[in-house]
Amino acid sequence: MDAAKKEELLKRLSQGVVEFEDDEVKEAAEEWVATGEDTYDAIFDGLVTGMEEVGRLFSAQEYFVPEMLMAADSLYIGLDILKPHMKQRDTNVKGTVVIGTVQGDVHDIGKNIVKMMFDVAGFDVYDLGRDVPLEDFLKKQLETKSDIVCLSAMMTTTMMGMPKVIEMIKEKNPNCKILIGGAPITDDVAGKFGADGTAKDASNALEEAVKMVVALKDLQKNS
Amino acid sequence: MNPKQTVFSAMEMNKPPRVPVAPFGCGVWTIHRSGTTFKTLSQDPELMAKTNLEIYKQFKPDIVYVGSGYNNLHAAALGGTIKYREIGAPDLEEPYISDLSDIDKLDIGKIPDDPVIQTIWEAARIVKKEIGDEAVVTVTAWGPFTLAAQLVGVEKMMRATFKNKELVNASCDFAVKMIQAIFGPLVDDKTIELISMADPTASGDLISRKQFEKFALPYIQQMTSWSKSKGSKSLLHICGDTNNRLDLLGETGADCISLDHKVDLAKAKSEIGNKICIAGNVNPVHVLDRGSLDEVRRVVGECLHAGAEGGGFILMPGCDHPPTVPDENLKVFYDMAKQYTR
Ligand code: B12
Repeated sequence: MDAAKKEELLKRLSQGVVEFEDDEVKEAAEEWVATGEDTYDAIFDGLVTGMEEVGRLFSAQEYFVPEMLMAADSLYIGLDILKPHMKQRDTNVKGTVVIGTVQGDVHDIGKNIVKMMFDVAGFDVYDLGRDVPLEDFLKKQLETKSDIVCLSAMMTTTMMGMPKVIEMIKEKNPNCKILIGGAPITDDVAGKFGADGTAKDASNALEEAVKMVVALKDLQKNS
Repeated sequence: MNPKQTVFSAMEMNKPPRVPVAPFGCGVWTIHRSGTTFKTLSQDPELMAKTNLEIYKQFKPDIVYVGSGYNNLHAAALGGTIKYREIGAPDLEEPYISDLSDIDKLDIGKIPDDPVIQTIWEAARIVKKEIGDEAVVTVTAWGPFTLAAQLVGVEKMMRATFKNKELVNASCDFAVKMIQAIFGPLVDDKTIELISMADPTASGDLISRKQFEKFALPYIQQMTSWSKSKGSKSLLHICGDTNNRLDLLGETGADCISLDHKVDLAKAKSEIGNKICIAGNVNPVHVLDRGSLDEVRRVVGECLHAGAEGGGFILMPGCDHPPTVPDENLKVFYDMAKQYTR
């Protein structure tokens, strides 16, 4: 695909999300897939960029909740088409992850995109969904003995559930690594909450997770 | 003037001798104070009336709200099930309108058979008998858009505003009929001379001005003109930041519009204050519940300063207030209005 075509498709994907034109998103996504190229850029520079614009429009009181919902629906239509065609990432490590959006919070786009990165890296992922009761993270971790638990929160209110989950899990299983993220999460917040790490986007989330799994394996080797 | 006359004078755009003052709804607070539960009261009109009368005796609000917090039970009268919670108002568990044909199957005629609605009616009559013409007795309900969104499901309703406008309109139409059926008998026998509606799903934080104008306003207008035709007044509360649509609130036909704390009261007063009585807008959480006495004094003072001039104003919290509001804060809130004669 040449640069001009790529530019055009990215624009149609992001605009399609902003204007919640389901058909436009679907067609642009299908065209991208037909080129046979990795869909990574289509997802991040197309769909996610569009959703960032939606966030700005919401802050400017141009968009309200119905518009955000419609845009989220369009994004998911594109994601469903593009996701299966994202190239596998070879990271040389495979981990087990429990992931979910914390109680009270229904924002799940970011969480699903992080999950997608784990999927293409060949991790085993247990997705608890959104608005997840805090104890469920502990339950699932104990059941799956996962290396990592990933918590997502998009609101300053709901992120306050995170330290509670972290405490619960660390008490039962101090070796389990906890990675948190979402718009209100900074390095500072992650440190205060007692998390083992955070990442500002999905690729960094995978990078962090890989480091964590490597550290865990080293720990096991040495003990 | 007695308290009732004071309220109605303000709603008729006059300047009563002192500023009228009332909470908005406050069912959760009322029930919490009486140490009882939504569920218990729903079957006991005497007790429901008693909780209202106790509050009335203690704080002497100018408006008494019967059945506040039961709005989702109105929805449940024709379908769905109710989930009671330890604290807070009960929820409707499952919406029961998924398409137009579901609406045709519903029978408004069944509203009077609902035991909870019967309880609220009877409680309102008891309260009215006790209070008489001293203060205003009202009953609360959702506004049409909010009730319809309960019936359809909030997320579905939000999407339908783009994808299925017919469903939005038909469910709002139906909601209007339901609300009229709930208020009807009480308005007819003059148990209440004021209907009170809250429309939180039509909030300035949830839907745009354009959608408010298209989907909420017309049905609110149907309710307010119905109320007028019955010789009753209407009080409407819209949550959230409505600064960009105050002119539309002025066109609701309500006798009084209760504004959230996010609204600039002085701006509202200058934009629509000569058209409609304004109620508001002390922050119910950060000031009434968590503020110090000084903060309550300061903010209540600011509201009175911004709203009271020329009349057509009622001091009210910006929304329903939490069950934990300290009595001392409320006392300041009531006293300051009652002493405000400027
Ligand atoms: C879309 C959206 C919605 C949709 C969500 C649909 C869905 N299925 O997710 C709907 C309409 C449902 C919604 C509802 C509400 N929303 Co909203 N919403 C948004 C919006 C516009 C975009 C979020 C998004 O999807 N971004 C795109 C994704 C790809 O980015 P992301 O989520 O940040 O995720 C990336 C990173 O954060 C990171 N990441 C995410 N999770 C994790 C986890 C880990 C472990 C790691 C390492 C990394 C990581 O990687 C991701 C991918 O790169 C934001 C605005 C914004 N600027 O974020 C507001 C926003 C989050 N919403 C907000 C609000 C206020 C609400 C409502 C309260 C509105 C209302 N009045 O009802 C409700 C709350 C509902 C609830 N109880 O949760 C506020 C929150 C403010 C706050 N208090 O902090 C925001 C910030 C808007 C604003 N500027 O005010 N919303």
